[in-house]
This record gives sequence, structure tokens and C-alpha cells, in this order.
Amino acid sequence: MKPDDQRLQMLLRAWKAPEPRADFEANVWNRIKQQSVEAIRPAPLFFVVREWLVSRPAWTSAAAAAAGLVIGLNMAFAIPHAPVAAFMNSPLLDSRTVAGSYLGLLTEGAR
Amino acid sequence: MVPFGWMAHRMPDGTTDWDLVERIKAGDDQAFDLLMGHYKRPLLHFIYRMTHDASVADDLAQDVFVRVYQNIRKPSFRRTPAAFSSWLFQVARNATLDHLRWRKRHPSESLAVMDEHGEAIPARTRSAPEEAVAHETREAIAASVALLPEDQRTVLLLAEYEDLPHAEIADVLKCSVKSVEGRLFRARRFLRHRLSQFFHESLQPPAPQGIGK
Repeated sequence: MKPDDQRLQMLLRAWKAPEPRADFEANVWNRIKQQSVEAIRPAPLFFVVREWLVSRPAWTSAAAAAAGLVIGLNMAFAIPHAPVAAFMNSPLLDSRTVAGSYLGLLTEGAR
Repeated sequence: MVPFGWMAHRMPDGTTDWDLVERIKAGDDQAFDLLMGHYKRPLLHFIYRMTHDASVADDLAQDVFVRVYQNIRKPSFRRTPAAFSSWLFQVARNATLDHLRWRKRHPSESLAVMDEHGEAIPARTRSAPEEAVAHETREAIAASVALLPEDQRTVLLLAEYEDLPHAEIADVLKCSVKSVEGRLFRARRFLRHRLSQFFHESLQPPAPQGIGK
């Protein structure tokens, strides 16, 4: 260290700071007890998972994609499909109804 | 003044700060008492010199330890590659900057707090004229340090008062060691110029008491 810096250091150290109070630790513990009861208890699983995901953005995207895939597949397999023939014989698709006429136009156009 | 940086990372029994953090995470509150006992003084001093207000420094230092405890107890908390002291001073710096921003927005409220708790500064034990000079010197140093840009002030306080190595200061400020050295150089140059009057006084031997007049 240069002599100039040493002299400056000596001068700066004339500026004393107060010492911690005797009850410093006790006050900190009181605040912790007041403020962080939830933090001390184990958080519910949802919050733990959420916090874990929030701290890892790449995992959040991957988890969202995986969740979407699982939900989509589940729905695809869970919802029963009506047989097409039964659907075509529905009274709603009778040729006298708007839907039936439209369907007739489409099938004629296809031919 | 006890140099701080060189003894910051290992307890007398060889336990490191991060070992204590692991114990706190596992629910050992005594480990937190050890950390607090070790760091309360440097942390309080740093915040005091940033704010120049003893009661605010006390309040903020306590708040920093609460935040540190709560952060360590979070399941997502992970140790940083840097020294624990760097992380701790980073938390302290952020809390202090938040407070200083708040004080800027609410000048009347912060003035009231300072007036009310101004007595928290340590008792004076020297003779009146000597104390007056010392007080003037302290106030001049505090005022000059307060004029430094915040990043230079942080570097100066951590280097000059807490003896933190430059690499750890760089971790606190998230910058390079070169940048820390540059800021420290500029801060010292500014203070040498600004405090030149006291600089010369401090080199002279104390004037004999009770002579003349």
C-alpha cells in the first residue's frame, strides 16, 4: 500500500461505528419468530414445487409441456367416442334441418 | 479495529461459514447464533457507514439477519460459489440501498427517526476540545464518504473498514476485481483531495493542553 493510502486509512479509521447492542441477537430471534412462522414450518408441497420450478425456468417450460401432454393424452383416452354411423343417423342431421342441408351440400360437392 | 476479511471463513474449530449454513438448513439454530455472533459487528458497521444513522443501522442489520435466516431455511436455498461473507454483504447492501431510496422519497420521516434516536452513537469519553476535533473529523469523513457514488462507497467501506479481499468485494458488487480496484483508486483519490485539511492535521503531534492564551 502506498504511503498516501496508509495515511488516508489512518484518518478514515478515526470514524468509529457503534457496537451492536447487547440485545441484538434476542431482537433478531424475536423478529424471526414474529415474521417467519411459515418459513420455519415445512411449506405445503404445492409451494415447495412452485418455488423449485420458479428457481429453474428451463424446468418450468419442460414441466408445462409435459403436463400439457399428459392432460391431452388423458382426455383423448378418457372421453368416449360416439360411433360415426350413430352420429349420422341423428335427427339433428335430417335433410330438413339446416345442419342436415349443409351436410347434404358438402357430400354432394365431394362427389 | 479488528481486521475482518482474513478471518471471515473459518470458525476457531475449523467449521466454515457454509458448514454453519448447512446446519441452519437442517434446523440447528445454534449455528445461526454462531454466524450472527461472528458477523453482526462488521455488518452493523458497514450499514452504519452507509447510512450514517446508528438506529437505522441497528434496525437494518437485524432485518438483514432475519432475511438471511429465512433465505437459508428455504428449500430452494443453495450455497453460492462465492464466500458466505460476500453473499451476506450483498444482502446487507441491497437492504441498505432499499432504505436509502426510501429515505430519499420520504425525507421528513427519516429526519424524525434520526432526531429521535440520535443518542445511539457511543458515549464520548475524551475531553471536550479533543472530542470536538474528533467529532469534526468524523463528521467530515462521513460527509465525504457520503459524497462518493454508491458503488465506490461500498468498495471503500468493505476494503478500508472490513478488510474484505478485492475478489470478495467483486462478488458483492458482481463485477470484476479490476473494476473494484479502479473504484477503490478513484474513491481514495477523491477522499485524499476532499480531506486534505484533516490529512495534515492528523500527521501533526497533538497540541499540548493548557499552554498560551
